[in-house]
Amino acid sequence: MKKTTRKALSLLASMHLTVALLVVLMLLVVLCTLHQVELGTYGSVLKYMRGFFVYAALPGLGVRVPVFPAGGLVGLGLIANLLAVLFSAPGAFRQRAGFWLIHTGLVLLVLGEFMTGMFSVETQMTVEEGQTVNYTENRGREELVLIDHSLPEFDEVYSMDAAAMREGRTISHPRMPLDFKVIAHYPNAKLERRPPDSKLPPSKANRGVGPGVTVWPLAPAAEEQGGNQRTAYVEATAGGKPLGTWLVSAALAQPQHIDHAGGHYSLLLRPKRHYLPYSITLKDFRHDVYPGTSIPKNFASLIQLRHPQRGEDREVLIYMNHPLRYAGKAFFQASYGKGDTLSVLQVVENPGWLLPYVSFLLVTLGLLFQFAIQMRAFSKIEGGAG
Amino acid sequence: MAKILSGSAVLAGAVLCLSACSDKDVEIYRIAKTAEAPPAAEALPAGHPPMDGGAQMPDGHPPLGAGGGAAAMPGAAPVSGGLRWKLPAGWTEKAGAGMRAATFLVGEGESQLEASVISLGGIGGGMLPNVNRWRRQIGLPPIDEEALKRDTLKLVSPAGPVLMFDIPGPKQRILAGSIRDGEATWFIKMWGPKDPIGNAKKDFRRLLESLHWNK
Repeated sequence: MKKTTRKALSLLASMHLTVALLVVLMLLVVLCTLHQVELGTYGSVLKYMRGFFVYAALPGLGVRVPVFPAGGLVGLGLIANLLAVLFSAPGAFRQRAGFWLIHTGLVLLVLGEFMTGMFSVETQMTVEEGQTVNYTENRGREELVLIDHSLPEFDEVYSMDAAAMREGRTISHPRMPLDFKVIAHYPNAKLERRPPDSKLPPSKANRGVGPGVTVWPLAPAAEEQGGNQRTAYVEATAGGKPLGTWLVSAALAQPQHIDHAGGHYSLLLRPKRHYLPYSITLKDFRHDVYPGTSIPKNFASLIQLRHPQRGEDREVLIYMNHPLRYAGKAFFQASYGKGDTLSVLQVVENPGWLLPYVSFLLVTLGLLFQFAIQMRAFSKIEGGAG
Repeated sequence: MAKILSGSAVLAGAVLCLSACSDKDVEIYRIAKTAEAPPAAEALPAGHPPMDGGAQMPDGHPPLGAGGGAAAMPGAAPVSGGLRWKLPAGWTEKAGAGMRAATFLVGEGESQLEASVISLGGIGGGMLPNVNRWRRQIGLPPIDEEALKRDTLKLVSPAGPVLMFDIPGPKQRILAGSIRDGEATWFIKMWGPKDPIGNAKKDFRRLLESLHWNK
């Protein structure tokens, strides 16, 4: 090994670096906790933990620059530090086996959290008793969808990422029959019925429900403050010819209809959907309480899981702390509503979910191994002294 | 070690690139027709948590993911004039909030019932899809046009003909009324536990028969 490489490895393996990284991590946890007041849990975790840098806007310039390492970078640093310790530690493997297992376990622990932060996707499935659902919804992302109902067997869905909506921007795709120009966009807004004798300026929309609705733009709100209701006015065009302007909003539950050139389309802004190759039917939702009280005892969803391609059709009971793990996703009982006839399942897809378990196993084995080696060494010393 | 670090950098770069590229894409896919909820009045989006704080978190359970608390509001339509009514005794009216034209409250405390008034453009999604959606909400199978005709009660009000629906489910019951206004369709809906809703049926019918236009 070259001298410079050895020096770099020794610096990377230094205990000072470990302590420095842990101090930065502690600072991040404090900042993340404090800023939950204004950003909400999700927003704060996103800012301080789920990236490589914490960004701040330069005053007067509006440019965002990295000002502090975020959780992702600290995690990578810890992994590098632990690996450097492993590679630079002297001694034969037999004597160092426990040490190796413990450090490998720690690397996997940090890597597991890193993978969860970067790659896990949390969505929800809301299903009413008797209803069958084959998609989950991402409440952190929205999509503007144009659905073409003209085909006899299928609906063609054109899903536009709502985060890409900017005033003046046109969203188009060679295969999409209509283009949409964003006339106005509000990350959060409140909608109200427009009274017939309203003195307010006329709506920007001239088609659909928009002309009967007043839009009040609001400041973006954290999830804990009620979340955002993204709202926009979009002008639909076909071959450059304007067809009208529609109001689209997360607050509008209903699709609006566009008829053009013999085609029938629906337009809707909704949480981003992820369709599944299998379906879930809610057969029964149970909300048990302790007798004579309203204290919850059990929440459970009895579902029918159908996966035609795998030939599966079976009942599953999902209840607190007993999720359904299926096809890389975990379905947790999360919430309920509508007089106990509706169940909300939190659907977590985390490619690194197994890593913490493997990590704990390795650390436990490593500690036992290390303990046994030390015991053996002590017994040899005692035997020699005797 | 260098490989590990450069691999991490590539991985980080790939994550950033993916997130930047996906924003610009229009995703296109096909779904079976049955997978999409039919247009319907006063509906939450298919699979959406209930409105008005209907979704509750079990005690001690962690909160839902991002945006889970966002409440939905029903669609609305431009309205000419406005629908008015005569409130039955014991009913109170709350001013319309959000997209609701009005909310009626019946009774007090935990047993209080609520009815909503909204309007939607055109035929508001059609009567059969709406009735079947209501039936599904209370655990009943869908019906066809023939059964809908049998189950529809035609009332007369100063505002014109009103359709009334009484849908009793195993635990819950829905009373609903519908009236056309040329440009829009109005829906009045009351939903709750079976017996209390049954007790309120006479008053609900009186309310529908009192509908008139505030031209």
